[in-house]
Amino acid sequence: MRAFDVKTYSVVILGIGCTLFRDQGFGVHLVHELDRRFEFGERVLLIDGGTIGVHLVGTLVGAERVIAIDTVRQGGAPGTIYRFEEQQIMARLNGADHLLQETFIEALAHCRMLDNGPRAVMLGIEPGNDHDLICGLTPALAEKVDEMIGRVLKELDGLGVAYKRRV
Amino acid sequence: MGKRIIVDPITRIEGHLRIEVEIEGGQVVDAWSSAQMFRGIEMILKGRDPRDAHHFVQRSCGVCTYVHSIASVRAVDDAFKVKIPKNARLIRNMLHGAQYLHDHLVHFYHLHALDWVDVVSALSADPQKTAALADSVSGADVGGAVYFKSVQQRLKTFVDSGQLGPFSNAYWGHPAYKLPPEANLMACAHYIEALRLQARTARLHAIFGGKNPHPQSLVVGGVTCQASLTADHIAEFLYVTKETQDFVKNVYLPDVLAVASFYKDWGGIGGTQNFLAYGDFPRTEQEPESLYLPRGVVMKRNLAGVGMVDPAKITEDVTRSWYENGSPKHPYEGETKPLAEDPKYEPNKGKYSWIKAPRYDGASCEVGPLARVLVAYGKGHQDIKPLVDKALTQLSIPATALFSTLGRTAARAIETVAVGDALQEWTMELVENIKSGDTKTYEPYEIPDSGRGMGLNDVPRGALGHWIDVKDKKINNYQYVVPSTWNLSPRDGKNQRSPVEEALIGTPVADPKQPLEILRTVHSFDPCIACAVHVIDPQSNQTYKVNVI
Repeated sequence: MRAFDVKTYSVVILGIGCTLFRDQGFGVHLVHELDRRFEFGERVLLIDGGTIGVHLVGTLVGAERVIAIDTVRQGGAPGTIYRFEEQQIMARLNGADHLLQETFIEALAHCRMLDNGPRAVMLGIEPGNDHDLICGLTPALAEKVDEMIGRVLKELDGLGVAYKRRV
Repeated sequence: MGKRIIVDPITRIEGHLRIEVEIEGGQVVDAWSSAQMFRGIEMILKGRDPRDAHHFVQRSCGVCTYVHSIASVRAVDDAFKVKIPKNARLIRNMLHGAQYLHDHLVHFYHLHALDWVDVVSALSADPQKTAALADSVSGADVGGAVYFKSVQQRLKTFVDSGQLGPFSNAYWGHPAYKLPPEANLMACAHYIEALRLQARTARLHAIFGGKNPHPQSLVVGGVTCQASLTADHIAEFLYVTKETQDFVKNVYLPDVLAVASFYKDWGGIGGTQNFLAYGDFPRTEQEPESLYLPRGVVMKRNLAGVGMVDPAKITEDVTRSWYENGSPKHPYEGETKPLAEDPKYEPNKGKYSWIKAPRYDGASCEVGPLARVLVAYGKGHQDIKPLVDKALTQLSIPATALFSTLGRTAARAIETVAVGDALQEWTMELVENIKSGDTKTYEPYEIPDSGRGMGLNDVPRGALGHWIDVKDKKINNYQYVVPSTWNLSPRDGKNQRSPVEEALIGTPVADPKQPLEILRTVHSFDPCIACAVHVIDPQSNQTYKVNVI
């Protein structure tokens, strides 16, 4: 074990997407909101992974699990929430919804090449508008923040990871 | 008339680039380089506080992180006539050197190597022979037959799953791949090691810059990381630098030379005529005299006559670019007036790119590692000249082979070795300076009502200049001419080709539907078109499109 090695985490909760493009920033808004409302232990890392792209390799490679939150176009009504397992995530490598999703999946692929990399789950939400240059969510997505937070917490419950609501 | 093919988008670069070539008799006979995106950062800066400029311009690119920040603060330091303290100069150099290490490593292994290395061929390599090859070529930390067998197994899993991931959409099996399977497997293993390493090297910027990408400790007048000047921070910086440099010297440079030995004919392909280096890494307040990488210009490949650089001779021509026409302008008088109507792509006689055409003394000039290494070589640089001579001897090729895609690729590795060693010296110099009692990192100043300044830099991709004109304490005009502007511009008003357009001529193309040879040269320039993210249409699943017209 070398000095100054990258710290390892049990769970990385990651929001991806560019907040300048309306709903595309949903994942980023989500992790900030999570951070506002909850405290997590030392083994959990919340990341605003916004536009970091493939640089995420450095952080993901040490993690056991990653829960990614992002907008995903599946054809449902805006605000519909989806859950993707690992295979489904990797299958999107050449058909990602936006560049930052593609680079996140690339980062995961690189992790697998290096070591085993984290087991990944993606919680997606159908965007209403992800191409206008405006900061801020459309109402259809803004009103789903609570539900998505609930879904993230449910994933943590399934992993036996503790969290505490801030007062 | 030959066959025209378009390669768009070029992948494994930063940004959005389209290359069109005309092929006749199996070779490229003409070429056009087109940047497909406009962002208008120079326009955004007008009217803003000059002290904020570096924050905006640094967002030009996250791959070339840091470089626009340092170029900007240098330009404003110049405009405000501020002399930064010694610690600030050292830290700025250290962060810049760290960027060279990271950038060049990632470029060779993760953006360029797969033009020369066939991943699928690696699957038929003999791990024992691979271990022997690796031992004879380099001094990597990890090796041995068992190791290479496990790498091979990992690659096989990827390939079998059909999910090649980063290796998909490529030209495996192309006849222009010349490495034996063992060399391919060795290179793939090092690709993976470099991937692992670069995540740590990237942290160097976080130590004195707060984060990566876009470290934020540079300001007009100096640096802000005073609280980081501790033994712990410096020790970590040195540790990661040494670890990276070990890999650079024992694996990266040897790999480049090993690969080059199978591709010696590429010492005659992809060359240009003129080379411009602003130089960088000032070791004292005296510039350009104290620049570790020297300033100079080489015209018509004349290494014996390295000329001085006169910044007044830099102009940008928009005749063939999507801007309102005007005479070629020096950046101080530069304008950014994009055409109002939708751009029409007219490479034959009209405008065909968002990049302006910079020219030095009217001539098209290559910038980047090869320019720097040639200028340094021509000036007898004590670190770089021996490295170049050793490479030429090892490969048994003449110095003229430097003027090529091979030369450009080798130069990138050579200057990384030199900068990586120098970087450790600068760090020790910082230590000594702090020990002597000097902890100053910032020089206060008064903002003048008006002023002009320029920052001349040589960053990993090449010569980078920022020019600022201040009026009433606000930015009146801001122009920057970046390395890829020089290398990947369109033609100018005199129909002179840009370096990449010239370099592509004479490139053999075995199969126009798989233009691997073209990618070799284009990638060797390490393009950074720095477009906004979100250019790729998410609805079309095509990540790569080749149109044979």
